[in-house]
Amino acid sequence: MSAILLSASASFAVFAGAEPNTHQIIIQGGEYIPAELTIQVGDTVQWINKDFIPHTATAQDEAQQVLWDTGNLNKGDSAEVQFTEVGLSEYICLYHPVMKAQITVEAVL
Amino acid sequence: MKKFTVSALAFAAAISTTAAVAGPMNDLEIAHTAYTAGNLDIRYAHLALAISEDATVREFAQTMLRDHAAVNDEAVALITKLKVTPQDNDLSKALVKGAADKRAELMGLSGKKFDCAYAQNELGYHQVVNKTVANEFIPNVTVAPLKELLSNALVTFKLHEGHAENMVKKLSC
Ligand SMILES: [Cu+2]
Repeated sequence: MSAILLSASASFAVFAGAEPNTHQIIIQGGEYIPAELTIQVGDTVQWINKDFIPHTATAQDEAQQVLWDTGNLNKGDSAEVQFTEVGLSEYICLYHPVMKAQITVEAVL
Repeated sequence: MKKFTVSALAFAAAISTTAAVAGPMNDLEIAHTAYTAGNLDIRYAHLALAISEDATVREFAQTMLRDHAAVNDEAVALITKLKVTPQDNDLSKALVKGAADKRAELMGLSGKKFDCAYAQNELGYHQVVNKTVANEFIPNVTVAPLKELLSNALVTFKLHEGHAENMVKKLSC
């Protein structure tokens, strides 16, 4: 039984580079941690708000149209966004626009 | 001579600090003043939402309502848990009086004049409050959970100070 599990996890490890991952960003002290993150296309990012004030993580284009948005995150809330396009995604908190961060989405090799 | 000037300045700063806080404040007075400062900013925000038609000003005011409510909820939870009653004091009274005067002034304004006066007041208010919280309240407070609450609140108020700075710039008053 444990041998099967081992071989299963071994084969998973071989293809790990192509498997979509989930990355975590902590919002604490009015900052996104980490503020810069590089992921692969298809990956998911999860934001967790550890402050007691609400925040968002929101990307907008130059015309202020929302590209993606976690929505309102109260204390302890989390939300996930999956990234399906390659490129640089800069985002802010809609409530505190001084909070800025970015995600770089790379093609899967 | 130079030495004398420096120490005289330091002395003047100490006096004005002492005068501002009317002697060393205890934990219950600090809690009262911090809570009062948040509530006063909520009142300014309600005024802004009633008068301003500027999107930047309204968004800022909404953030003040959202955040100061969250901070004050935490404060009430802590006060309830510690079973204490915050104490009114001279600094709280001075803040309340100053804010009442400012609200009266703001109520007489509209349009861009209101937006600029509100934005500049928010910047100045957060600067003064943040300085007081950082230099007076946090070093003097003795109860650990209150110190932690004030430190978290200061992070929030600093976001507001930066936000207010940008709002003043954007309005090009
Ligand atoms: Cu925020």
